[in-house]
Amino acid sequence: MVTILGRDIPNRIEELTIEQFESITDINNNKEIDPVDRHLQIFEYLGIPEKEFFDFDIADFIDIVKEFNTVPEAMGDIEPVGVLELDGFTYTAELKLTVRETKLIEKIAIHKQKGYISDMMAVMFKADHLTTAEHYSEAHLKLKSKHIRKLKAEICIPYIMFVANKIKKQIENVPTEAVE
Amino acid sequence: MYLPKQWSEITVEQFIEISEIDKEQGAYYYNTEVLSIICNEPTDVIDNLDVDEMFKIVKECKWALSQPSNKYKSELIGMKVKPFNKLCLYEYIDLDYYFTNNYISNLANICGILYRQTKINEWGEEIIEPYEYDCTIRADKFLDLPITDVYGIISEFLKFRENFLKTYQNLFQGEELPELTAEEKAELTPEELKEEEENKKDSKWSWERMIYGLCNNDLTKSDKIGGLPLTYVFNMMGMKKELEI
Repeated sequence: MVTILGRDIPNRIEELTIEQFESITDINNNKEIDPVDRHLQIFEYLGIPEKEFFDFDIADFIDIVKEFNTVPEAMGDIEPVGVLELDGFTYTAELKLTVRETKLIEKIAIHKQKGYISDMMAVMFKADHLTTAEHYSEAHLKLKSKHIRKLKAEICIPYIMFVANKIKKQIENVPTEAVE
Repeated sequence: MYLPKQWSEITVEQFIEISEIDKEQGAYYYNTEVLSIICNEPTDVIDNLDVDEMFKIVKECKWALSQPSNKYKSELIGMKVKPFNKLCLYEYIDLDYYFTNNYISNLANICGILYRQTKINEWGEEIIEPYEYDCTIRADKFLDLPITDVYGIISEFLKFRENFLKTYQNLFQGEELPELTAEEKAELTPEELKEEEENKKDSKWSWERMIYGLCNNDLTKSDKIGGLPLTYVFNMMGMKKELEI
């Protein structure tokens, strides 16, 4: 946590929920607004109204931003959590993907809808009691994603890294082109 | 799962299916669909593979990243390609339609027009069957052939069409207007918009209007006009235009 204007604001992945992490990432990726506005929006999202910064010195604001963005640990070292308890059910995941899962994740990435990290996690975590068809049904994935969104962001990091590395490696090796 | 090793193992039907895959759905979707088509396996089989396994298979299909050879067989299933310079007006109009409306999806129909039965007449000369059949029914005969048997006919006809359009460009003025976007339309004045719509109407009915004019508004003559050699019709039209008759 960092303390900004007397408030404790989560800034580490073990403090932020996946939902918060997704929203902050979305704001950070918005290149249409400048870095100062971007951080004002992030702080507002985390509970500090923008107007409270109106009389703030810009140099102090930059210091706050730096402190907020300081992430001490290397994200690649986080051990993946393989089992989740959600709403009374157990879900397990491994760091491997079938073609169907990759296609679903690709679709999520292309549409970049709100909550895409939890959507991706919902594809990877499976309940033992469900059939394949049930697992990949849209309604089930949506509901699971909703539960996952409330979990801490540290859970999703190893999975994001795994998927990103896998796709990056394959795209580098095989350029996919249209046959025409 | 048998994996083909070259384009000659892919049929015309499979090639058309591949060309119709929605590429906007992403690379993994595209690769799955291609593998499903060329291996004749349901997509479920591909979907259940480990993504690394599919990656290995895709690597083995590098040949599919290039186009098939630009050659074609001039004789196939007892039929011969009709020389382009002998095409009649109706044949050309249908080919023009198929070429401007996705020539890959319409490849079998195109073959259905260009590959023709022939016979020797009493003078010992080869005559080509008239264009009095439904090319979409004949198209079925080409679907199971290797794509490499017919693929080159596309570029060959496109070259012919380009030369033809160049030769008679004065008769084609005002054709092939691109569709305006909503933004472009919004910038036009009401008069310009009306003119644009009139132009589009003219373009849409250009062939019909041409035939209607050639048969002096007597539609009973249209089939006779359609059966005339293409170059003869256009030479006559060129003459009419030049002499203003």
